[in-house]
Amino acid sequence: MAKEIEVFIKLQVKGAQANPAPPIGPALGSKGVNIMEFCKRFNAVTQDKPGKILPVLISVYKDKSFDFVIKTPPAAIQLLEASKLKSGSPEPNRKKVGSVTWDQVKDIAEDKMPDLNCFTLDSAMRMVAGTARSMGITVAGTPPWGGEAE
Amino acid sequence: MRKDKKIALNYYQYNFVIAEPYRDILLAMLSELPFDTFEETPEGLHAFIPEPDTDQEAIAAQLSEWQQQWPFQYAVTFIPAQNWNAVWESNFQPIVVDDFCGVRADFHEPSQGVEYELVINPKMAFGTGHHETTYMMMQAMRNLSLAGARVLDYGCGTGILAILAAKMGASLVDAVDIEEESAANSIENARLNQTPDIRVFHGTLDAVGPGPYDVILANINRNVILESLPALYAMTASPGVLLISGVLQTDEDLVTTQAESQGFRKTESRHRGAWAAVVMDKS
Repeated sequence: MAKEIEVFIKLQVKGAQANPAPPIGPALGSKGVNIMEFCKRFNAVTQDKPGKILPVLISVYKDKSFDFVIKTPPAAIQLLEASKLKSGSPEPNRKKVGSVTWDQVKDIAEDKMPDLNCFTLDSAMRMVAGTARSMGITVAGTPPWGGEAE
Repeated sequence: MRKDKKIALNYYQYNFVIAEPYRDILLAMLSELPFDTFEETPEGLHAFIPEPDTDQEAIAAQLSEWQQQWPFQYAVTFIPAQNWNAVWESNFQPIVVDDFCGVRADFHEPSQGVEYELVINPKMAFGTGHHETTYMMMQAMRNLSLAGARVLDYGCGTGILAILAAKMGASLVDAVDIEEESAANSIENARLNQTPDIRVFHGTLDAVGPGPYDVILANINRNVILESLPALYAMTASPGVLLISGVLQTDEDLVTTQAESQGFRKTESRHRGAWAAVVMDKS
């Protein structure tokens, strides 16, 4: 029989860096879950992505056990990382974050397609480019569908 | 690599009310401030930052600038440090590893029919025997003759494996953990188990003497183990044993290969759930 769910918890946690501090501590601890066990497992499966912010959906069951699913980072996080890689100057707190290429936008769009409710890669890319614009990140060059960047 | 970590910090929680299209953007920008963990809520987002990293004025200035671009509201609450694992800790069931070793909290009745009994009050440190990795480490320790041995517990957490080694007759037991709370918890548990001779260190392997150790116990994680293999090889006596866990079965080959390229030889591996434990010999 499937286990009865007590609560879903949606967190975004840095890969390989989960620890029993807030929000993991209070969110899981208040449900009687063994926090250290969650941290050990989350950190083990994210050893390839240390420090990257990863969305994780945790199901806490009535019997105090848990399961979790890790998703790919939000487009905004990926854009921020891509823009830093390119400029090579990770300076926080700046208005203009940097720029990315259309190839990078395409990679992110492909990665996030399942979450974006887009039917075509082009529309997913437009959406990711729109997110970049809202963040002050410019997309350099000509979009693959031609014309000016929107 | 950081030389120490502290977990039991005060935190600030920033509660944001923000519409969906902007939430991920705000989250990405906050991660640079540097908020370290986030919780998605129906209204928006909760963002968490340790008190020592919090410059409230600078954050407020940055947020008011962003509010011009993306409409949102926020409120700040303070979360004092506390033992978040207290609920689980107050309810956990004692565990028995085969007929070899029982682990319980001080409020449980003593375990029956086991060779060794450990009392562990874990707080926010790792290691109670419930986890597959700790369980397998204890099973593997049973096959080693630790009487008179020099033992290092690397990443000791609650100190559970160091305490077991001391009870098995090790002549010298050192334990080290990068987390301050774990080092403190190991000292507390060592006293509780009448094994006060265990020497507890706070930091990385550098915090411990050069060895050599007849047995090194390393239940940590893949990356730390991989980085530490050269030092662990140097610190293992000839002959000696390195016992590894904290790695998933999917990472077992990688860890084994790298350990063997250092000069270790795999003599045994165990599996439990998704996890692996590997026994490595140095000749």
